[in-house]
Amino acid sequence: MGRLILEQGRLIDPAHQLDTPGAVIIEEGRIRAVVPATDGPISAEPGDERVDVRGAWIAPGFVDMRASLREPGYEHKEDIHSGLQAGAAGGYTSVCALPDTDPVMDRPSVVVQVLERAANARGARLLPIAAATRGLGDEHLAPIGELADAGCVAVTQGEKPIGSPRLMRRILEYCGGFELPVLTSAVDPTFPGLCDEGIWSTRLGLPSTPAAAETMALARDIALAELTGQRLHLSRISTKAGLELVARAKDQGIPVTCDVTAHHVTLTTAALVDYDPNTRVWPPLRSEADLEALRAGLGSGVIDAVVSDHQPHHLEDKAHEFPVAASGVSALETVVPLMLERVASGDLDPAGLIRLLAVGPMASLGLEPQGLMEGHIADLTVVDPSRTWTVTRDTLVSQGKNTPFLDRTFAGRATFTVVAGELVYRASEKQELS
Amino acid sequence: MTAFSLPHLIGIEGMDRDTITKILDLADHFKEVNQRAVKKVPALRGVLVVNFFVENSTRTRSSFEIAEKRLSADTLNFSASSSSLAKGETLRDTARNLQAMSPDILVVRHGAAGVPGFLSRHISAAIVNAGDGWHEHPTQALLDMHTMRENLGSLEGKKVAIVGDITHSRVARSNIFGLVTMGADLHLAGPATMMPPGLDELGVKAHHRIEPAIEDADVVMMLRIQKERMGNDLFPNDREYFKYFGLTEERLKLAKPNAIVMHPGPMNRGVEIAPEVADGDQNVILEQVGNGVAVRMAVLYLVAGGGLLSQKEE
Repeated sequence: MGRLILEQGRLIDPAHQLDTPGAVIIEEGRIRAVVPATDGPISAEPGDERVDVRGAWIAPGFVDMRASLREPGYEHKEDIHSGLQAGAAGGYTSVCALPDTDPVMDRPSVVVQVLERAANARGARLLPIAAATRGLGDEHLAPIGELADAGCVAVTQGEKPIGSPRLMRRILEYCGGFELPVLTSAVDPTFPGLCDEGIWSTRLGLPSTPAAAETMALARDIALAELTGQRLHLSRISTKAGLELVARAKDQGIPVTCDVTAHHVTLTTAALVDYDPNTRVWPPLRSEADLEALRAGLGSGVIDAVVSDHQPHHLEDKAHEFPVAASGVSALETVVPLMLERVASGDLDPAGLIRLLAVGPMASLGLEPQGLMEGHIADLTVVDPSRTWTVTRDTLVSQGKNTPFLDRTFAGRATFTVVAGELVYRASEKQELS
Repeated sequence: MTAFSLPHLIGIEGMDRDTITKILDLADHFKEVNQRAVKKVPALRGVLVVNFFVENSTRTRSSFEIAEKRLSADTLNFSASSSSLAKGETLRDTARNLQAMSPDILVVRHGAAGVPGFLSRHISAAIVNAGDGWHEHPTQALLDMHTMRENLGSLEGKKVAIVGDITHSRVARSNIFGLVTMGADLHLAGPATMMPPGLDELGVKAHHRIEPAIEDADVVMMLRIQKERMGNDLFPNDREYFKYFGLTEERLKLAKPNAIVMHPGPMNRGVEIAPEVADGDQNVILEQVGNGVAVRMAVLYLVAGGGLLSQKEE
């Protein structure tokens, strides 16, 4: 097999202080050479596949830390094949799959099954995240050591925080012994609202979840991370106050990292005005002040990663009244376009976007960063900031068409995705509007 | 008056003063019809109104039915007692089924906020919201404003107190939007557990005691305390609620001498309102019920196209 050459791009790898025009030569699944444009043209060899990515950025592969791929158990919403293809179409070379399947990913046999299915799918890699407790039941530890050996990269309780502080402590301690990070989505479940608490919940007459539900749960988990000294990743921070708690914990040297979703840095509670079930997410969309704080955190280093929190649903699951409709967004394909909007608005520079989508996720998972370096695994994402694209039911690769961004036209998107040296996604020119 | 119609009535929020005034003016006209020997007019002859009630309601539905019959509409009651999910049908399928009956007007009561708006985007009929979750109950607010206007002449600058469980009340919400638009000086009171955040941003004053709200008020509106909320964490018991928030004769003296007392019904005597006040000279509670029919006739008439009004003016 010949070489794959991505050329005429802008090479950006913030982990290796690289930002220069140039090309990447890929051979046998690895980066053979990173060639700045100043080195002159690359001489042709037989069997070369040369891809001109003029105007686009060539980046280390993007990693999504949070996606529900629905298989096994909910294949009518998504399956591993369609989910990993959607991931590749969204620019991801790796997608972390949450354990909220049926059966729950709480034993090695399920992990083996999921990885086998992933191996046969042409798309992003799948990184399994195991259930922290048996059946996500909040009582008994899952066999965490075996799950790590089976290939899991972290553990989590999924949608909920771990119920008892005692159990949370044990999970952190036990995972620490296996060098496995714990992911938690910290919102106190005793305030199960449908809407941020504030003027919008008052106007819309919806049960509300105050920001304090997040800070209460975060404060507990941060205290336990400090107690145990174990690595904890705080997922889906949605409020200004929550982000301030994380910033303080980091200043104190507590080993925490955090992420936000792309929709929480794009939409506010105002999006609920028509009770569109596609705006029902957890945690709920928050206020303008929260949005501003999260946007400021993108470039400040407090936020380590942006996640999709991909939750594909069947059309029928959303065709209900707001309080009954399923929660979540089909998001793998809209994260990069939404983050490009943050670059256009000045909240981020291109290197900052790549830090949040590639470098930060790998570091938060405690994985060896892959970059634009000779000898590294050739997982690469090409982003074209001026490739317009309209989100429609047809242009979405995911089976889940549930997104509040339906019919929105974005200025840019991921255009090529390379996994282990193989071009697994190439954006069709037909999707271009202009 | 120019020809005027409403596509739907989903909520009072966003409705301007002129529109509210026109609806209330038209209700005056229908109130006069209701005092005739023959109370029926042919305005909605051949118009099919489906009353789609997915939540128990006797009063509101009866009021709508009377309004529909007096306008000579054909009516059909379509009731269900649970959400679409419990029935195993999506709301979209329910909407399609209703659409297949080709109603001209759909009157909707639903336990979930936002359902009338959803239906207005999926059905070609005109939608009239008869109450959606905690969100809005626009015809109730219109009949309340109609009753206030009849008694006070105008709403501009009048002090109106609404007392009770504001958080869970669609009646309160619709009245907030309407009364602020009409220029009333609106004061809300209730236990802090039942007061939603951000009320000042809506242009109303919130109190945690009843007294400052009703002091010098022109209108005192008491909201029903829902028995099912008692005994949980919102308030201790009905005795304590009455002690601190009940409208007694003594407390009513704080309001203007000619203040009117309102209640959307059904009343819990001895919980939010003392029996002597409920039956007292200042109460207009049964007037509210009568005005409800006239206001609903006006709304149904307007969403059906409003032709008669312009004819009448010609």
